Amino acid sequence: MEKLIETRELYTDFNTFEGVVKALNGVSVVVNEGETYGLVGESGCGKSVTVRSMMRIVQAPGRIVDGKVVIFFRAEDRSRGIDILRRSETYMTSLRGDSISMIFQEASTSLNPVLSIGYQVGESFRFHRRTQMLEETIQELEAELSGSLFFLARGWKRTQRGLFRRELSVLKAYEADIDRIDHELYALEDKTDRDSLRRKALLNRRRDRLREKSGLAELAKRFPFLSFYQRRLDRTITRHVVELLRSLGVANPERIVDGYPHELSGGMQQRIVIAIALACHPVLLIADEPTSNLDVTIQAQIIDLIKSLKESIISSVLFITHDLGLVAEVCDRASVMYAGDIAETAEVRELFRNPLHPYAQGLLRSVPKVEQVGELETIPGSVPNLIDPPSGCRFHPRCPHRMEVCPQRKPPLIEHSEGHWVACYLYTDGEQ
Amino acid sequence: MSDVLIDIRRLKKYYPVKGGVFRRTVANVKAVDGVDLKIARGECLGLVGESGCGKTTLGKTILRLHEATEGRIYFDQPQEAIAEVEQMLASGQDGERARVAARLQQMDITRMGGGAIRALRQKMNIVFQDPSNSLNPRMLIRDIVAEPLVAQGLVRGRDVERKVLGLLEVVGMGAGHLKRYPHEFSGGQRQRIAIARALATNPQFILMDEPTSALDVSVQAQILNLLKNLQRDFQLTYLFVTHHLLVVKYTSDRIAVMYLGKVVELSATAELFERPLHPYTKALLSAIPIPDPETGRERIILSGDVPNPVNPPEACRFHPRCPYVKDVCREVEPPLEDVGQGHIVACHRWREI
Amino acid sequence: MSTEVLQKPTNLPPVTRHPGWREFSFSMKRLLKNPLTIIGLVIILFFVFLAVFAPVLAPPPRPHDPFLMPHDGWQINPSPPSAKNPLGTLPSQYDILYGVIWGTRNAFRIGILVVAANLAVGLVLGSIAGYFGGIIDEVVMRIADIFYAIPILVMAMALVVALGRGLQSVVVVLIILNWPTYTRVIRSEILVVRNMDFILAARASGASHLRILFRHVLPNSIFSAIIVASMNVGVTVLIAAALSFLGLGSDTGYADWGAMVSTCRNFIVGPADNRLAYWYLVFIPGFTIALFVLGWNLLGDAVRDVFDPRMRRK
Repeated sequence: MEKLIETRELYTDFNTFEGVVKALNGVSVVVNEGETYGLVGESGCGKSVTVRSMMRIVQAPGRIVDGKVVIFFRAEDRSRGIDILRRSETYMTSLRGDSISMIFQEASTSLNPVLSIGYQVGESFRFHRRTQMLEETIQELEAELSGSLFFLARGWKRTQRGLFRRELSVLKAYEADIDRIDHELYALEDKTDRDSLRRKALLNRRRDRLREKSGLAELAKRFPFLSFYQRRLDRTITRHVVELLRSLGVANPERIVDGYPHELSGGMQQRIVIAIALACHPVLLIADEPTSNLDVTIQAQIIDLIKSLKESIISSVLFITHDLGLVAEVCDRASVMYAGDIAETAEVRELFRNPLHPYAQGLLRSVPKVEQVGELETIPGSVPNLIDPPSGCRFHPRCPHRMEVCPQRKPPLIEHSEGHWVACYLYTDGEQ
Repeated sequence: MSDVLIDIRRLKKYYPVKGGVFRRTVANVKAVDGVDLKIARGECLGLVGESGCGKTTLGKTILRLHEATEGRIYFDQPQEAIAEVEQMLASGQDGERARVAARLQQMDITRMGGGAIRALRQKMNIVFQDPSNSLNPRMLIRDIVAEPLVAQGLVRGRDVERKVLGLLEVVGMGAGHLKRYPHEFSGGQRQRIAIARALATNPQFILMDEPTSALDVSVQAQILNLLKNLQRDFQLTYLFVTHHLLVVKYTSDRIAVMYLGKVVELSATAELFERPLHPYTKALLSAIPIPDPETGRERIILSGDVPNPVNPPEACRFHPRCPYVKDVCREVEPPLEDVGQGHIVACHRWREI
Repeated sequence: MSTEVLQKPTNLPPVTRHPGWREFSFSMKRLLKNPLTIIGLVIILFFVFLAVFAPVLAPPPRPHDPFLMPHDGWQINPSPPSAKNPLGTLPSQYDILYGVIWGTRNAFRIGILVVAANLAVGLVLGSIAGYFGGIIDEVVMRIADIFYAIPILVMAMALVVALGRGLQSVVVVLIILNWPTYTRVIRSEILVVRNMDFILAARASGASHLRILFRHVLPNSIFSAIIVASMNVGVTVLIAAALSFLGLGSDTGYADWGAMVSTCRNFIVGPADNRLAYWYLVFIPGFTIALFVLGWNLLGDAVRDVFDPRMRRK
């Protein structure tokens, strides 16, 4: 399978009042094309921080201090990939919602209560697919103009068409400029000599500062009365939104687009959130505990939906959860995280059948199962404070197999068997 | 001593919805709508259901934290006495009414007066879901755990600290924790403190309201084991309210499934998982994510949303979402039928499906 | 038993200092990191110093009533600052410096008295309204609404007629003016706290309503009120000064900042050729009032920063 996105030795810190929280301690995760990847762990282990670092939406006072996040989205990038930590913010903005989408735990707080649902779902189209929307609108207008019309209507539509055409050309010029910059940046991707670094920084800055060259259309857009004609574009967008909602199993999408989030139930809200995330057919969907707050039967519906969408629209899903049952159901491969480290990574069946890391073993034994025999086993102690974490392997104070070397150095993530990685000195046979 | 500790008869709890200019009651949220349930002494009865089914309301009404709208809850009364009173109520003769009322005041939790309620508080307590919310952030642990004892005037002065220390040790904490505030502890530790508080007056019955839902998986295991051991050591009776079926399977002897304010199925734990009869129970069981990738389970996905208890559907409340619905389900409300071995179900078609 | 496996956390040392003190010293340290707090604290301490050492700094000519300002002569026109009167004099030669120093005592008195009384009333009424709810809540809130609607000046004048001139009328007016605010603040906090699980837990543990109110509800809801109170001391003094200026406070010759400015009404603008001749009349008492209010506001801000649970810890 081809790699899709990968993090290499990611370190993220949070500068809080009590001290520096070392949230991520060198996290390396690889998500392949077409797979559902699970990130499992308890609260505070850093799974949310990992994906937020990948999307570069870590909130202050958090900072990514080291590491790489490499994406392999386009065919040309296969061999080398693009390190998105070193790119400009505008580049990230163009990725988010378009190639990588994220859905969060609380659907009700993910939706803006004062904006209509149609508007919110349409935002993805409006921002990422503006060219396409403009072209469609222009085509529609042309079709209408070729028929016979009342002369005032004809005049109005011609004005609209003209304005849209101008906007489209400006937009295309802008995109061409961006493309050129991106092309050059890709060519310089692996170069780390001083001149290249300087050139890359310059290009990134230029990308940030590039604005669509202001034309009449741009000006018209900004004035509240003159932007009247944009309504035509909104109609096109709403059409796409309705289609999207219908494909996600939302009943009565025409009525829903005019409604507001509070009118919907929790499960329906989560569907809308998923719709927003999938509007532009992202390559990767990151789901951060999307069903933790939902009832079991609604959770089943949403999981079913995500699974079916994976067949059709999305390529890969990065699924974060603390529920091992969900991992077993939904994921192909999974990583178990503990206190900012990856403890074990494997194919899901292999992970459940043969967990290697003592923490993963303890975790699996402490979950109540259907054929539960005897008491649940527990892991003694509690999750460490990340401001002053244990030295070396962060699990060593609670580990039943603790050895001398464990507190000294963090164990490296090694491949124990095909596709099964573990970070534990029990499996290193003395090699460092 | 009767086997049955808590006997609930036709309990209803409605919340009025006020509307209009004069704030009249326009509708009722029927949180609990006619529940019959018996909790045996020393057992752990699990109560499962999704949001809006009324399980939390039921639990809190048993503890008299809510006032019931209708129905009786008999606490620790012999079955013959209950049968007598129920008969008197059913016959509905005027002369009896005063006598019935007087007797009910003694026996029925929903009708007890101030003094009887105070005595009741010593015998019942509750452990809440969110330990960060259920401990007063401005009180020391020592005072929090001692609260039931001090509030009811059961212990004085120096004995308080000794007793609190004893309770903390039972739940696995120590002397160093006495003079600290809740925010200095982790979620699991706070829940232990909450449990210690619930045990303070040596109660007979403890309501567990989703005690592990807010905790991490490994901590959950610790707390569940603790609860099991405490039940054994102190001969406690639990009502374990949760939405997590695997947790309730681990802890409970019997399980009752609630939907929209009514009990739809009740049976011994193993029996419920092997032979679920009600369609809702089946859907619930098939919806739980099982931590075993090898199971090739058939999933029943219910359509629609969890409905609103303000206007429950007519007849069988589950009929709009039921994959086996027939005409009779839309017209007649299914009664609770005894299927054998204490397994009860409320469904017209349980024999066929 | 698995509980034995859970070792008692060894990283918790035996508690040496009382936990209340620990929390307090932690808050204090946070407070003192903010430079504005320190400025506020310095200002207030300065005024406290003035108030405490008033007899030493400005010996009263009439010991039985130190608030009567001394005046050297009967000349109407105020005199500018000189060696004899370092801050100048008011019309009829009342010494401004004396007035400022002894006025500090009055300012503190008014501020603290009014705010304390307001807090007390607010606590009682707010708790009853918030905790018991229902019709009691409605009644109290409507009464508060009525009080909100009474125009302050009309009320002040009526009270002056009833109680006579002097600072006591001002104090009464201010208490009446402000009690609805405190009641509302405390009531809204209580409405939030009332629904928390630990209140239900206390009920399940057999606590009486009174116990719940005093032991659980109030300690958790009092902080907003304290924040409002600390910010209000300054405003109270300001309004008191305004009322005094309008003549509803004390008489001429009484050491009260507002009254001092009130006597200068005719002299605020000087003669045609020197408009600013009597700058010290308005400026000095005015500046003192402003400084006092500023100090309390800064302190109130600091108190809010420390006690506001929503503050992010950066």
